[in-house]
Amino acid sequence: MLSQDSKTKIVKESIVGEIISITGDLFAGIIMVFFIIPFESFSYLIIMIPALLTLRGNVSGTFIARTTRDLFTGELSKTLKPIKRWLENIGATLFISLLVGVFIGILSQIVSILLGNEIFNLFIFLSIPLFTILFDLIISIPLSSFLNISCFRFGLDPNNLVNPIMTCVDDFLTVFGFLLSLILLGVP
Amino acid sequence: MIVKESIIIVLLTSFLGLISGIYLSDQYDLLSSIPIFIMVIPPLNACIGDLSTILISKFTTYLYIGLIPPKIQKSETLRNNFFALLITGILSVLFLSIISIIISPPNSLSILNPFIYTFILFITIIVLFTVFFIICFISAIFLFKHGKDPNNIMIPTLTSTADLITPIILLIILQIFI
Repeated sequence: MLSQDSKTKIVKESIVGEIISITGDLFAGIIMVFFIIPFESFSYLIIMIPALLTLRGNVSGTFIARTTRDLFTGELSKTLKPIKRWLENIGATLFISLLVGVFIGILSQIVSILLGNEIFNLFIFLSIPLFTILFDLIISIPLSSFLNISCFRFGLDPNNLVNPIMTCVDDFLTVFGFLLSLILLGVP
Repeated sequence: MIVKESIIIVLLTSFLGLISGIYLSDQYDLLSSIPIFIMVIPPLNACIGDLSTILISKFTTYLYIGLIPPKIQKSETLRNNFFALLITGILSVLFLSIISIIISPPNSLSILNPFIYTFILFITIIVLFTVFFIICFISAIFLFKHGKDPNNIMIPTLTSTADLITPIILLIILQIFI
């Protein structure tokens, strides 16, 4: 079957996922342009945005992949039992995210100072990535687990569906969480 | 175990993301004069990341089932995939360009013709896709020959590299045209 894949078939199959992915990420772009750019400190806040989006992809993506693998291998049931295994996965995801969030916050502050930007309160620089990541994961973990289990129940392969959907959901949540953190922390 | 296996690659890729952020911060004046480009960076990153994931996943499958030999040589399968996914990329960027022009804030394209804006996005996707296609093909063969699964190594590496490279290439091409 694979050898018979024509150009038209490949384009047809891949374009739908691409359009969904682009549309979701466009919403993230809209939040940046309409709501984040107006912040006075945007020129140095932008340093951490690509890192947060990359972290989001790697942490959330691997959480989804591990849950899918556990469902396929039977180590996790459709009712998420044994719950300890699922909680361990969540614990590891949160620990890695928070550790790397601190790393992003400190490094962004150092880089910002080296670039000659105004010195920012370190607490704020640390809180922005931590809040953003937590905001994303608090929604993303239950949602992706629900989607994973739903796909599994209906006999669909979660690998093909959950990751593309969650990529655009997570990117939107990351940028939205970033905006919320700026507002809540009173960033100029 | 999960933390041990993941932490280094997550730290490294986040560091790559920071480099991309430093470049964007350095180009702040240019970006703020044409804010539509800030809007299209996340979807463009996603597009290149998705296409790279599809490519590496396809090459891995082709290598495992013997549809392409583990040698660097041209084939009909490669040609089909190159042109099909390039067309997918171009159509996706056309969609992105139209939607972003419609919803962008007023004056976000005031110093740039919409056709040139679309052309810049086309050039960006063509350049990036071609480079990533070559990297995906060569690395898939190299890893396969060494008994490794290209999916496990190349997907996180390529998506993070795409996040780093895409805004840089986009801004370089933009600077050529304005």
